[in-house]
Formats: sequence, C-alpha cells, structure tokens
Amino acid sequence: MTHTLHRSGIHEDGSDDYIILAMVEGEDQEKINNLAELFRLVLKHNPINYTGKALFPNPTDERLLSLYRRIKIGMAVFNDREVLIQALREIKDKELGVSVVISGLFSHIAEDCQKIGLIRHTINFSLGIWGKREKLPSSKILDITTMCGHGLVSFNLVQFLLEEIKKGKKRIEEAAEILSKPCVCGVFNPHRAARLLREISLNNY
Amino acid sequence: MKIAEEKCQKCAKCLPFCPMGAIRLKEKKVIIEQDECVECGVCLRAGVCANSAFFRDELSWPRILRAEFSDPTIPHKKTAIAGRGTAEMKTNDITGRIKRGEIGVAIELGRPGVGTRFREVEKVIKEVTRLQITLEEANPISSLINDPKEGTLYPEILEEKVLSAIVEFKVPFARAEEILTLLIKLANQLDTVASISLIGRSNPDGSFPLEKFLIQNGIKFYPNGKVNLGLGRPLAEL
Repeated sequence: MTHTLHRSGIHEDGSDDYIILAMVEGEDQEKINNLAELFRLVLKHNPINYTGKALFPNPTDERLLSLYRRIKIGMAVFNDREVLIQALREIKDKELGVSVVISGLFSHIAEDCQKIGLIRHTINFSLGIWGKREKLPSSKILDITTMCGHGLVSFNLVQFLLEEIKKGKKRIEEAAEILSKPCVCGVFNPHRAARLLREISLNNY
Repeated sequence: MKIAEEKCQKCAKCLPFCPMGAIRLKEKKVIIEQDECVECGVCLRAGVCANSAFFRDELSWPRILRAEFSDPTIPHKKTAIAGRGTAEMKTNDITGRIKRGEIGVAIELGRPGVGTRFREVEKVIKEVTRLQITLEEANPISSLINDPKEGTLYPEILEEKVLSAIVEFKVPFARAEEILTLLIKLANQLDTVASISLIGRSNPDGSFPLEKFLIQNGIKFYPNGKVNLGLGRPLAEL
C-alpha cells in the first residue's frame, strides 16, 4: 500500500500537497480508539480531502471516527503547510502512540519535524517510473492522476475534462472535484488538481 | 464489469472514467472489453450512468484476482486485507519490519495507470527468487506463487490483468546496489511501466544512510515521499 508515494511533479520551490496518514495494525482496542482521537484532532483543521469524505462531507461528523475505528486507517490532505504543522503539534502533544506518516516534500518535512521536536524514523523514497514509458500520457497529466495511488483516476478523464474546460462546459474547480471522486481513499488533492488543470489550460500543454 | 444492455442509453458519458480504456463504443453499442477490464469498479461507483447500467457478476478464480488487486474496496480472500501491498513502513516504528542495516524494496508493476498482466509480475519474481531473496509474506502476491524455488505463479493466472501489483521484499543494505541494478534492468524489459521505491531507517542521529547512498550513486529520487514520524508506541528497538 503505497497510496501517496509516487506523486509526480512536486517541486522544491513550493508545494500545496501534504498528507497525514495514521494506521493501527492488529486489534488493540485502545490503539484503535486513539486512532479515532487522532483524526478528531486532524479533521478539526478542515483538510481539503480525507478518507470517508464521499460518505461524510462534513469533517466533524462523528460517524467518520467510527469509520476509522472499523478500517483502522485514515488519511487527510492539506494544502497549507502551517495548518499541517499545527495539526502535527497537537498529535505529538497528545501522545496517542499511533504510527503517523506524512507525505510531502522531504525538505519541508525535515524542517517541520525539527520545529516540532520530532525525529524522523523511516523514509520511503520513490525512484520514479521505469519500463515502457511510451504507454504514458504527458507528465502534466501524470501529475494529476498520480494523486490517486490506486490508479483509479484515468488519463482519459483528465483529457476529457480539459476539453470540457476548453469548450466552457466545465469550470476548473468543478473538473477537479470530478477527478477526486474515483479516489476512494480520499488522498487526491482537488486544490492541486485545479491548479494543474489551470496551468495546462493556460499553457496549452 | 458488465453493462446491462437494456439499461444502457448509449450516451457514452462513462467512457473517459475507465482507467484502462476498456469501455468502448462498438457498432453503436457501449461495451466493456472483458480482457482489458481490471474489475476496479470505477464505472460502477462513478455515478456517471443515469440508468445504473453497470453491474458486476460474481467473480470466480482466477478473474477474482482482477478485483482483489484493482478495487481497493474488495479485500483479498487470503489476507482479508484490501489493496495491493502491506503496511510496509507505515507502522515501522512499532513493527520494526525494516531495521537499521536493511532496506525495503518495492517494484509496483502497472503503476501509474497502465495495468499489468501477472506474466510480467512473474518475470520479476523469478529474478528475485534466483537471487535467493524472500518475498514479503504478507503481500498478496506471495499467495500466488506456485513454485517457490523457481518463483513461478499459478499458470492459470498469468494472463489476468490488474491495475497494479507490488513485488515487495527487504535486503541487507550491502545489497542495495546489486538489487537496484537488477530492478532497473528488469523494469526496462517489461511490457508495462513500473514504479520503484525504497525504504530506509534513520540512524540514531536522525540521518538516513539510504538517502546518502542514493545521492552518492547519482540515483535520482523524487523530492517528495513518505516519512514515518516515529510516534507509534511501543517503539521497535531497531
């Protein structure tokens, strides 16, 4: 399960894409309850997407916490680094004992961990895409579709929506929301997708 | 996936949603190319069909593997866990799965968005087996190995297509260069794409030997990725 690892097109000069993932392995009920508590904290910060958003669009809906208790994993996407830092501070202070993974720029995560007083434990590096790259669309389209690690956002859907935007049949934000729907884990970042769709539309990529 | 012909209004709005491009217009009908369909369920969940024409028959072996590997809402029968891989580094602070002096390796065939047949997956497993490397037991691929000595999969599954499948294992750090060379060589022989990833543990001073190794050897990696913050308790010792 490498949901958020291979997101392409993220550059050192800035990012609007950070994900908090927390999970519990096994059946330790105390840990499972702590996982739900962790997400009570995280969801207060209004992530732009999260596991279960399709079912419960209000992030303060208590039923989300029952969902996380049942599936023992949750994810939340932020586009604002300062909000992420605040959420991480609160998680650290609570000492819930649950494993937490952050996805984003390594340089940002290193700085933020230092600020908060955390020591990074394990890193997962992506060496990118190999093999028959000629089967892939343009890198700009991949920057959008790779935000769903399960590959459920199709290349053709991005192309189709770009055409719809060009014809004036869809607004960019509306297209970004449509693209986020197939991603059942809730890790697709519609804010970043809208920015990328705008860039592609303006530059005729 | 299938389309109930009597319900389909032939509007073709569903076509772009299919990650495999398996939904097509043929002789004025909307059809699903069954050999290309990976049973991911996107068309079913998309809500794009006004008449709810999509449905999934009960899947039998080996086609059920398509859904188990491609539809994150369907758990694997063997592991009862949904998805393609394991918890790998997500809980490494507690499990100690990847220890200091080791690296975790994953090659995900078919990702991003191209898909793979199991015959391609078998090519990688055979080579990894030849190097006497043990695959991650909890990964669903491990249950599909027919001959552990040769690294062959059950022959009846080889032509089944999935969105992606991960070959996952760990090796001593000293083998990093050997393994990477092999994976890159192998990936370039595949009839699909593959995303490669490595997992490394920090030293007590917070530095990452794997990062240093990648930089020193000129191996490019994304500037973004996943970091386990070490907040899990009790912490694994190594």
